[in-house]
Amino acid sequence: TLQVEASPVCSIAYTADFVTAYDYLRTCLRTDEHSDRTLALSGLCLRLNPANYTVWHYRRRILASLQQRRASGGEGKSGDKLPPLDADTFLTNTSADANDERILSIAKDELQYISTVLSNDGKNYHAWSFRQYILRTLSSSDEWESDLAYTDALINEDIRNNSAWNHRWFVCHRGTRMPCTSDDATRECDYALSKAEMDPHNESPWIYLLGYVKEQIRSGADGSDELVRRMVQESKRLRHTAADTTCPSCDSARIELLDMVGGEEERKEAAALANQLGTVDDTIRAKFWARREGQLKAVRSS
Amino acid sequence: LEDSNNSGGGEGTDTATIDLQKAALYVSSCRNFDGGFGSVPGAESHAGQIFCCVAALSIARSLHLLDSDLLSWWLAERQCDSGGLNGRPEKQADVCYSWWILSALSILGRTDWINSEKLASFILRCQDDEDGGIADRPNDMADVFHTFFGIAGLSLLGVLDEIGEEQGKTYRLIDPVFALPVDVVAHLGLQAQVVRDDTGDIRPWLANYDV
Repeated sequence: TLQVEASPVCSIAYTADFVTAYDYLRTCLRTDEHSDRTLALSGLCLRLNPANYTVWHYRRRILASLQQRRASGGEGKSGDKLPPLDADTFLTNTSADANDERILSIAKDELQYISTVLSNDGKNYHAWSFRQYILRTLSSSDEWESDLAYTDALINEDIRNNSAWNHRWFVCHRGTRMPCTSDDATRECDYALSKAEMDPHNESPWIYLLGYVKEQIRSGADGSDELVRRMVQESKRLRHTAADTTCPSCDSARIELLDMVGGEEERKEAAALANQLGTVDDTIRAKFWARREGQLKAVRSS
Repeated sequence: LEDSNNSGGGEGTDTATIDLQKAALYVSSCRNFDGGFGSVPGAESHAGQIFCCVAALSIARSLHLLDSDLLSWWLAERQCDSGGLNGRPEKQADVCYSWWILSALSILGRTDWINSEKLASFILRCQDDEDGGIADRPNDMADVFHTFFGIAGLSLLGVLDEIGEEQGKTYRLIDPVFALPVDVVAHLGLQAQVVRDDTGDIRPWLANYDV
């Protein structure tokens, strides 16, 4: 946020602290200083405005430089002389050696820092991106496991935190596009159901669950048929626990699950549900549901 | 660091300097389990990123790389009771998503998957009666950013046309791929790709595009 003109069209009312911190930041950016003090400054500026792309990017570049410097035998954090590290340094896009205590220590510090940012705003897009970057680069099984628990903690705080659900998918897949094992997929579907049970109106666990079911079917995994059918039954059970109220999130997931089973009875039931949603329970998307109903009713060629 | 925001910037005319197929594949790698797109692979689906990706794939004539139905459903689910659109599940409606989402739906031929009247009414309620600007949501401070996206949204909804008729004026239409007036797009001969809507139609001003 550079205020270059003397009299801008619309002045933003920054606090004095904010102005001071960002004045320092701009000065350091001009010389592009990479040091422990600018690392600390970037952290301060992000606490003041966690949504600033430029500062996140600067922080990443500082970390890369500090790591390079340590690798080539330069000064350590408290002026200690550290032996050279492996050529594949932490912050290049190749994976780092998670067994290296110093790399692990930096990563843990960053993850802790990101957690404090997320504790103020659990949906901060930059913070989540940065977290994924750290985890993917480090690729340590301990850290993957520990972040799985972290997503659970955040989901328990706020079931509707879609960012946490997205991160859980990322962690379960170890940051790749490879399908999960059927055991993992089953575990995650049951996890999603347990959260949907607490609040069936929340779309996140349903979308999450559908993602796993689809992935299993697409990869031709053993047990994918049983998984879909069991999820169909579970969605019916949950729907009854939300009795007397409309529940479009649950119903729309159920429609998808029934369509995946694909039998005539299932599609008929799904079409009826789509009709219910379009005409009564989710009329804002009436045209969408009418189309979906038509699709489900269409005679399938054998 | 490359991210999906940058892929949409390449002009269609100078393909010698950009590997379009690789760029399209990169965009496709940002696709998530919910059909949406984030800024980098693995990042949460977000309506703003989705516009960038859909428009980029449109420019690269690679819309086949996405699941139009699944994505359009995700976008349709962004409409809140207020009629406004949010950018991610369980976030607040914001006028700027009138652009990010409607443009994507326009390219995908599925603008009628959201309720136009309710959205238009939401946008109009975001206008400040005193100074005329449009805010992110009703009763907030107006700003230029949200004013642009509110007007762009009304244009894509066809509501700006209706307003024009009432006023005896003609307002230019905005192109959903390039976010430019359609006459400028035509004049520059810019090319892109769109998807037919459910009736098999294309909006007239998108007729020059590949389908």
